[in-house]
Amino acid sequence: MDARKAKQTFGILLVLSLSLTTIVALYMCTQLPYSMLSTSIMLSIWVGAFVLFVASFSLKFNLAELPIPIGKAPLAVGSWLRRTGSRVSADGESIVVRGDSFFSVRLTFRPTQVGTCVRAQAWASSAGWSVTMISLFIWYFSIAAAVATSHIFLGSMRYAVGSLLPGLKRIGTDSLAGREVDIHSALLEGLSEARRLASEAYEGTRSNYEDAMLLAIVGGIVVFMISLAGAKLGYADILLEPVSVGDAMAVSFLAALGFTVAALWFVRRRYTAILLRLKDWMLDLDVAFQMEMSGIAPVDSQRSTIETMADAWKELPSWLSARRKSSAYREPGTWILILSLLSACWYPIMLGVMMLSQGSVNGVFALACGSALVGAAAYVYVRWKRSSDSEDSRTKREWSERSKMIDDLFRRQLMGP
Amino acid sequence: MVDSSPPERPDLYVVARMLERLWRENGPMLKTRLQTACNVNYDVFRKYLAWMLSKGLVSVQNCEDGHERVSLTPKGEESYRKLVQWISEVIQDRMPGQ
Repeated sequence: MDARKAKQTFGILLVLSLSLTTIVALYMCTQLPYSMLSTSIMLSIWVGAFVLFVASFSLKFNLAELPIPIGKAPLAVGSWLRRTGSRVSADGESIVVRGDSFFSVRLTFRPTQVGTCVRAQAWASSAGWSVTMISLFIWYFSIAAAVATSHIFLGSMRYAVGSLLPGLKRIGTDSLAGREVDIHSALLEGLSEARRLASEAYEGTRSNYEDAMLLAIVGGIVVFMISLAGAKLGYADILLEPVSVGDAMAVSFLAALGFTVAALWFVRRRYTAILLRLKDWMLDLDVAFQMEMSGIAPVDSQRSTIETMADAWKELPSWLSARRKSSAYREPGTWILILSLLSACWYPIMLGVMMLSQGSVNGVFALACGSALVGAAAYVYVRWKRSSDSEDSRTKREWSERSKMIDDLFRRQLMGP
Repeated sequence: MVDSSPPERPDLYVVARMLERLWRENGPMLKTRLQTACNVNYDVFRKYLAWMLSKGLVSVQNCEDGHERVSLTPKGEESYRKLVQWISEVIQDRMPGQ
C-alpha cells in the first residue's frame, strides 16, 4: 500500500467509524430508555473513536524500496536520519522518527527481491500518546481523541511522504564514501544521538519536576484535611472545649500552606540545577551539530567536536537514568496498582479512627486493613525502586566498561599492540 | 626541532583535540597556530607534539619562510577516524570496534 492509498484507507476508516458510531447510537437508543440518550450517544462516539484509534496506529504502508539487504537497512536508515538531524530512536528492528511535538513515524523493514522495503506507520510522540489516550479513556472527550488521532495520522503521513521519502530514495545509491565523509558522518551521528538522549532526559526530568510539584500541592491538601480532622477531634479533647470550624480551618490552612510552600521550595531546589544543566547540554550539542552540519570548525576557545561528544558520552548514564525514571512514573501497571492501594487504604483508616474514637474495638480491624493496604503499596514501590536502582547501577557499570574499552582501543591504535 | 620529553601516559583528550584541529585544517598548520587552537600551554604542547611525532601520527616540515608546520599523517587521520567512530558507536548504544 503506498502513501496515497494509505490516505484513502484512512478516509474509508473515518467513514466506517462514523457509520459504526451511528449504528451503535441507533441501536442503543432503541434498546435503552430515553433518559439514557446522552449516555448512548457518548458511548457510540467512544466506540467510533476507539476503532479509529486502533486502525490508525495499526496501518502500515510501503514508503520506499532500498537496494540494500535487510540486515543493513535499519542501520543505514538510522545513520542517514541522524546525519540529517532527525530525532531517532531505534530498537534494532524498527525506527521511530519524531516529526513534531505531537506525531512521529515508525519505520519497519521487510525483505524484498531487490533489497528492503521500508514501511511507514503513524506513531505519536509522548505528548501525542498522552493526549490521545487520556481523551480516549475519559470517554466524554472521545471526540477530542478522534480529532487527535486524525491529526497524528495525517501529520505522520505528510511527514513520511514529504520529508522522509526523498532522502530514503537516495540511500544505497549515493556515492558518499571516503574517509573524510566517514569522520564527518560519525561526528554527525554521534552528536545527533547525544542530542536526542539529552532532550529526552530533559523532558523526563521536567516531567518528574512537574509531577513532584503536583504531589507537593496534593500533599498540602492532605495536610489540610488531616489538620482539620485533628483540630476538630484531637484539640477539642486537649483543650476541653469545642474548637470552632473557623479556627480549625484557619489552623489547617496555615499548616497546609506551610507544608506546600516548603515542599515546593524543596522540589524547585532539587530540580532547577539539573534542568539547567540539561538545557545547557542540549544547547551545546545543538550548536555543535549545526556547526558540523554547516562545515564550520569550532573556534579556538570552544571545545572540539570530539571533546563535546566524549563529554556527552560521560553524561549518558545519568541521562539514561533520568529517562528511565520518567518512563517508570508512567508505568501503568505499577503506578495504577500503587495509586489504587493508596486510595483504597484511605476509607478503612478513617473508619478505624472513627470507630476507635467511639470506643469500638472493631476499629482495630479496620485500621489493620488500611495499614495492610499501605504496606502493600509501600512493598510495590520499594520493589519498583530496587529494580530501577539495580538497572541504574548496571547501566553505570556497562558505561564504565565501555569507557575503558575505548581508552584501551585508542591507546592500542596509537601505540601499537 | 621539537626536543621535549614525551608524556608517559598521554591524556587522550589532548591527543584527540590536536588530531581534530589538524584534520579540520586539511593541510599543514603553523605550530604556534596549532598550539593556540588546542588551548594548551607551550610546554605541554611540545611534549605532546614530540609524542605524536614519535608515534607517527603527525609530521613536522621546515618551510622556506622559517616557520615549522605540522600536518596529519595517514596513521594520524586513521586514528582520529577510529576514535570518532568508536565514540559515536558507544553513544548509539553499540559496542565499539565491532
